[in-house]
Amino acid sequence: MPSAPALTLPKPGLPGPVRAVLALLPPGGLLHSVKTVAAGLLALWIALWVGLPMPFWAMTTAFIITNPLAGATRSRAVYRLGGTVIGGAVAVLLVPMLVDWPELLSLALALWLGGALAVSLLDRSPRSYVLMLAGYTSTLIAFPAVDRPEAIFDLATARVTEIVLGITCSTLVHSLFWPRSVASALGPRLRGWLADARAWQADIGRGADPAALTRDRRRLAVDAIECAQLALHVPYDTSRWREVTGVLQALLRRMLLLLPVLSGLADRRMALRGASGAWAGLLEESARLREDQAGALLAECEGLLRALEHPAASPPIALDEPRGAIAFHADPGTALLSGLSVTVATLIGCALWIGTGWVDGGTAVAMTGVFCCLFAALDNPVPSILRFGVALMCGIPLSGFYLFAVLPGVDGFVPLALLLSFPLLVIGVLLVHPRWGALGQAMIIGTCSGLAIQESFSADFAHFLNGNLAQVVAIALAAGTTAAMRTIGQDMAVARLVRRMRREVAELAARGPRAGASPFAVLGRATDRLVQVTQRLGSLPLAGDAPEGEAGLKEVRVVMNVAMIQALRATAAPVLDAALEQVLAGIAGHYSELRADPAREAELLRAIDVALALTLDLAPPRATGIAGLNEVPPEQGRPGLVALRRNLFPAAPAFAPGDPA
Amino acid sequence: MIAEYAIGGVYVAAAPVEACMALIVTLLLHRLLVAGRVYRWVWHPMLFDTALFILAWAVLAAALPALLPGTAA
Repeated sequence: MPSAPALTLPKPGLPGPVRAVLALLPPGGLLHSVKTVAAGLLALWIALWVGLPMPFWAMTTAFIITNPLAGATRSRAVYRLGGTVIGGAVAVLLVPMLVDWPELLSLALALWLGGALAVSLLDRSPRSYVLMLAGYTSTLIAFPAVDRPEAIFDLATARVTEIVLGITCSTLVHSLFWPRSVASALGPRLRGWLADARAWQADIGRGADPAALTRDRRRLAVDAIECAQLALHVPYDTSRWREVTGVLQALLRRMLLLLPVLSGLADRRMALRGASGAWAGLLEESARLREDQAGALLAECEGLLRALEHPAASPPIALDEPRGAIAFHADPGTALLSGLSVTVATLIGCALWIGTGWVDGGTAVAMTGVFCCLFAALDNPVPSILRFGVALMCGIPLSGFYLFAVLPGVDGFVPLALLLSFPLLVIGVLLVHPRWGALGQAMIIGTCSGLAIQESFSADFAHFLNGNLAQVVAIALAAGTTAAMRTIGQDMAVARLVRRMRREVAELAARGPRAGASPFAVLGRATDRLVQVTQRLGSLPLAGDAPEGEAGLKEVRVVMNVAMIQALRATAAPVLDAALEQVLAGIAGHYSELRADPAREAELLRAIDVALALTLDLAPPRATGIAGLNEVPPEQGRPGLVALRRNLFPAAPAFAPGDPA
Repeated sequence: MIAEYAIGGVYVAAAPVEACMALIVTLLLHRLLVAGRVYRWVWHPMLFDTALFILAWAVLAAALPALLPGTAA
């Protein structure tokens, strides 16, 4: 397997200033830039050679889907293809039908754009790009073409063809030449994660101060979810990991399960310090169960990682467990609001366009939609829209310089490519930079679309000015509408997340897992919300008992406890069954109310104690690995109740079996 | 004159149509080779797959017009 050559660029022979500049570059940036620019120019060359009508679309695509990880480039290529085909089809369907009623056409396209964005936001995986792109591809094709509906089919075909061309060139270049696989990025992260989890386990065993671990364990949750997101690219990867995605998913599921298990263990160990009597025995049992589970899970994780990294090793467990994919948090309310705001922005744009009769208004409206969509997943998209817009604008003077000063004297593709490659290579080095990458990309996209390289070169200054003015209007419109309609602050976002998290626990307790739904869906969403909260609180100091501070991990643990109690209910005698029903109803009540009600809290604690007293003569639990959540053995119900009591009422006095009052 | 296929009355250039068919053939072959664990012996799987696609495309482009007389001009 060829790997990227190590870029130890500062060679001793180079003069000092050059070495200083090279040392500033992000590592791997130059190679990635060369690959991306080569792909773009290859696409441009083929497009010009075949004589496609808008060659710059092909070139821009090569810059849009580029990613340092070959697998991510390839998955984006597939999603972009799907989105473009759907979007083109919708444009071809709508425009001829409604071309005589511009208001109706605007409304239909705006609704389609908003609907597509809203649905795409429900999926926080990279897959959501398909539908988002389908939405704004339709408007990009349809709005500039409303005055010539007969050309819509040709226009849509041209766009699809050129995007296929750009995708193909980009995929080929990034897969064939020194591909950097997702596996090469994901492998070390997984190994590091497991080492951290082992360290945490050892800390708990030694009895380290649990409060000191809070931040570390949140970091583990964030890393686990980021790995799960990165793993979505693996089926498209250039490494052999794409053939063993089942093993990878099994590993990720165990990682998610380890978090509540380890944090529960830490909690039980801490509670054991001051406990005595029957309560201490129950706590000890719960701690031992968690300890065994943690050990089993960690061993399985390490075996699975070995199986991933060494083709000869076989996975340590049979992979016939239910294949529930890891689910991510989705917020229908925000998604709907985002969809609505892009619809409104598009309609305002259309009103301006139709009202003023501005020729390039169509471009402005289409670009408004693009700007609204690109950053709709953020809490506050406005700064990103503005930054992206300004970076795009920065590309315009460059394209103007080329269009009116350089290119008139150029004849043939080779000089054109040489002249273009210089600035593109320089900006392209930025692409791998975590902070400046997106802005470099925006600047290149701005340059490319400003150039709009036609087969027959035309430097039409009025057209150039109008097209770019359209972008300014689009940025202002997108930022204004978004700011007015759907920007929410960090604290609001956290409050929403906590509310949804609580509601899901309440539903789980009230109804049990929905038929056919994997418990991993609930666990995945709960962990993902914990991560979302953590990322938003990232810079803020964590207040120890603040509801947002401790929220999350506790809910993730309660999700597991509820699953254990429900498993016990399935086999319980009528008396115990009734007691457990009381407990579950109490949890549902606890989590559906926003403010704690002391009377109901006391009632829930009493219900837990009654149920716990009834379970005292049950058999002790056996430890299980992943089955700990998938098919919980009923005898884990008692430790489940103990854990629940600890999670919900850490300050309550010790449980005494004598008086289940 | 560019060779074209008539699909449902619409004339489409032959090269993309054959490329799509070649892509499907390549994906099937790829699945087979994965099942046979052949890729252990391959130095650069991506290059291998690309070469496989080019071969499939060339074979289809050479063979199909002969198999379908009258459709390709």
